[in-house]
Amino acid sequence: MTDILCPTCGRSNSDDQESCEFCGSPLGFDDFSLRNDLLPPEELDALGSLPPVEPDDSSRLDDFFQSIEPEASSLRNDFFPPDENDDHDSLEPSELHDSSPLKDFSSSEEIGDQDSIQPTEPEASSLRNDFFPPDEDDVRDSLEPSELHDSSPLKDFSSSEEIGDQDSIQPTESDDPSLLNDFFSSEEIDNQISIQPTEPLDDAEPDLEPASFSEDSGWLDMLQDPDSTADEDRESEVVPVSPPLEGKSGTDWLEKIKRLNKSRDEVDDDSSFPDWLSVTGKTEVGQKAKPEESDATADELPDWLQMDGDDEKLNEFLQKKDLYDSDIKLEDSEETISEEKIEEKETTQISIEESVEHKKFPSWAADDVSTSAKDAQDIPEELRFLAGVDPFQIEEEEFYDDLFSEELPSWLTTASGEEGTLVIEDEISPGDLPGWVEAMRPVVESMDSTGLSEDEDYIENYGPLAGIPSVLPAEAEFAPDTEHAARKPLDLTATKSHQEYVNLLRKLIGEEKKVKPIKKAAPVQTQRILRWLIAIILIITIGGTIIFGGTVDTQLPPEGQINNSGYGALYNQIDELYDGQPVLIAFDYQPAATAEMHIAAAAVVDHLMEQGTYLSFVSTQPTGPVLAEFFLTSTQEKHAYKHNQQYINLGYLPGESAGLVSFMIAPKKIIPLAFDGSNAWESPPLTKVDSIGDFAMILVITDDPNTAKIWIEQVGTHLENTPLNMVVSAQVEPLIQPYFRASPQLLSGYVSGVIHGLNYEHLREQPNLANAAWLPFNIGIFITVGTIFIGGLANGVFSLFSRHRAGLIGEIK
Amino acid sequence: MNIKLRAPVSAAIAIGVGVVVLAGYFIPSITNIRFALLRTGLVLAAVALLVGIINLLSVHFKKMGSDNENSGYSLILVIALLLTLVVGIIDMVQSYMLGQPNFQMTNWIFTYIQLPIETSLLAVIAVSLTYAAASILRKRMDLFSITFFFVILLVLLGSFSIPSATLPFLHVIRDWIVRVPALGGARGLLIGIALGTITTGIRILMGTDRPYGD
Repeated sequence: MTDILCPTCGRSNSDDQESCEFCGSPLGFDDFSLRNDLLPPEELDALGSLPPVEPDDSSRLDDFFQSIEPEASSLRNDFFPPDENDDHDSLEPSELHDSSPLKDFSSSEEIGDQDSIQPTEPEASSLRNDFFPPDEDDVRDSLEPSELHDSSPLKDFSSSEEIGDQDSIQPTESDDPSLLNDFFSSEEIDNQISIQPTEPLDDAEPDLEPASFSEDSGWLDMLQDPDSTADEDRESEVVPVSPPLEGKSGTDWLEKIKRLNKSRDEVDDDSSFPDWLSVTGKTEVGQKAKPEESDATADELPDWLQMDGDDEKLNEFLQKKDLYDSDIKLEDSEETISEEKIEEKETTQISIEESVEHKKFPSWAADDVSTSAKDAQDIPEELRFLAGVDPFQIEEEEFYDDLFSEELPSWLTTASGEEGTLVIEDEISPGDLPGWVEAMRPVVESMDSTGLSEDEDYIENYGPLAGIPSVLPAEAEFAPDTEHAARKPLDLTATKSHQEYVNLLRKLIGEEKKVKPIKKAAPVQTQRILRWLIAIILIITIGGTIIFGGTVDTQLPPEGQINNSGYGALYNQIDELYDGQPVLIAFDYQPAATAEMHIAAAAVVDHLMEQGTYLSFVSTQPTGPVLAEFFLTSTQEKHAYKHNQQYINLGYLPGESAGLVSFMIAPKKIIPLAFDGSNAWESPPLTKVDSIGDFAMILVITDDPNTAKIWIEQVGTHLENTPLNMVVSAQVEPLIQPYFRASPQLLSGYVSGVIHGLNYEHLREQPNLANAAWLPFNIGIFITVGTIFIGGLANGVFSLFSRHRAGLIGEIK
Repeated sequence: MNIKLRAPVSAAIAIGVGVVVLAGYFIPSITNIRFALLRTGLVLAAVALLVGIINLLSVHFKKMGSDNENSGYSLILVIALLLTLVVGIIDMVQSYMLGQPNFQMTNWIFTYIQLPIETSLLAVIAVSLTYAAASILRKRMDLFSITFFFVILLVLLGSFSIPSATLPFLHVIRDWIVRVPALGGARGLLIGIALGTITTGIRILMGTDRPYGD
């Protein structure tokens, strides 16, 4: 019972099944499916009358090919021009008398999937040639198992890349698909375009003689790129023609297969075919013609390799083609062929053993072939494919040496190596590294020059520097080894100056360890002295002037200046008051400003008292009532004003602005009692006062700009006929001037500081406190100006000198 | 459920009083309401002063009991406050009893203790300002410092007025500085203060700013 490989999934099925039990694809190898797969629809009509082909029946397949031959030949002429046909005529069977490979091939049912279908012979060399082109034989020979009767060794040594690139690899046994699966991985199988069936083991045993390489060049040429194939054809013309192969039966089915392959080539060019039929990669399977070997082996061809007389035309053509291919091969691949090969070509009379040895089989495959053949007979049938194979004898290095030491196959050299390799060899000569590569090499010699080559024995064993000696050790070895350092002192030659430096360094480091008390930054003595000097000068001069000084005769300012000034306006307003008019005086200054405010306000209040006005004292400061009493007792003692008779001290008015607003609206309700607890509003001048507007004048004595502003904004804006005047400190003058010099005036007049107080006294022509304080005041100003000027210049020069010195230090650094 | 009514109530009171007082400037009919609110405010301000005095006493009493190195100053402050309070009460009682003002002890304390102390502090400020003006060029010598330095000298010399040593042009310069640059700067300052006051008032009326606390 023969298994049938599924054309879709490649798994084996029994021959009695019509569809694959794994994928469900039809297993029947009917002509319609074949035609549908291989031929375009328009050609199917011509093949419509063909009988069906049974895949497991070679005779029926032969009948099939014979029946379609006329049509197929016409199709070939239609598909391929004569030139192309010549290129594809190299399809030759290695075994012409036995159609069993075709049976196996046909039973595999992969005809539709095959890119090229090549029957092979069981003989070892021919088997090699089936799998590898002759150029690759040198490489592949070392990979082949010694036992060539079975393809199983091949599955062990063939790498996936090599096999995957093969266009034509046939299954070994149609009835043993596991071998195929073992031989090729799934990926390899996918890359394979065709898999050739091999001869059964029994048939291969007697034919261990090397087959001619030229015999297989045809079907490999067919798989090559057309250009490269043409080149190889030219080579083969020079090579002596291999002896013609006889065997009509072989040529018959070969013709058919060639036609199929030609049809497949046409299918490749036709985009209308399905993808699985389109073959885009045409791997070069060029092979080198070896006419000498061919001649030598031609005489020794077995009977089954002999061709029939009917195939003379084909043989003649093949001889011509092989000559052409061999000639081209010799010319183009002359550099890639080793001298050993050339000598091998010249040797025509070599034995099979010599030939086998010459093929450089790997060690595991280098056993005597004849011995292996004999041993194989003693091996059981099921283990025969393992005969002569001892995988444990494979030396890995030898294997790889054999694998890579030989020349590349021609299909590799012709495809990529001929031009690019030569160019690279010209640019980079062997042994000469490019400069950038040398620059990247670790310079081991430099370690010796430093004298630090103690770790020369150390070889890095990991990382990118693995294998390089004298590599800097890991950081763990940088840990200070005090014991080692003590035992092995530095071998330095220190001069006296060096020792001095060392001592100095030790001293510095030793001092660093000492704890030093933090000294407080010493204040600048000069500045403290300057501060005390200023204070002493001011105290002595001003105090001496007050104690021992006198008065200074001052001059009255010009009249225009007086009329435009605040003190002039105030003087005029007070001068218009008469006896008994109520005047509200607010003492809103701090005790600290008493001296200045008394000097400024003394003349004004004196003027009011002289006018006989009734004074009402109020204050928004808690100390105001006392200050008012102190003011009267200290400055207006001569008037002898009496409480509740000539003046009233209303006391403290809380609430600042709110209190002022309330006091402005209803003074009697806000402050019903006087400072001493008496009824403040019972005196005759105040009985008519219901609001703040009923006062004849409001005079605010303050040293605070904010207080002055509150009085002006909260009270002065609501006053109609009552003038609001102020006696302020000199520092408040800038802020009240806008109200005085505004239109309408919110501030009717003001006296500012000692200067205006003196001027006011000049207007009244009655010297008072301002006149008495004028000399100390001017001396104090003079001393202050002198101190500021001298101190400022000194500090300025010192600052410039410091900056200049800092700049010089910076330049030096 | 914990509902805090303190913040909304206080905000509502502040905003309401502010709106009424502000409207009292423009609506004469509500002047009485405005005045009542202002009067209540004055009482609260006076009470706040008393509360402040009590708080001052309690704070310094606590400092006296601690190991603070400044506890001695607190003791002096408390003694002075209590002494002044007692003296003031005695003077008030005597004044009511005699029917005429009699603040001799209070005036003595003010005249011989408070007034010299505060005057001395101001005098120290005068010396410090003189020293600062003298050292301004050392700490920072740039255009503004130099300008400030010479303006001080010109104003002070312009204030100097001794007939035999007075330079007339210095008075002119001083008056110009006071009337022009100082006046312009003061007006700008006042305008800024006014704008800030308006903004603050609006924020308080809208409840955005709550100086009275949450």
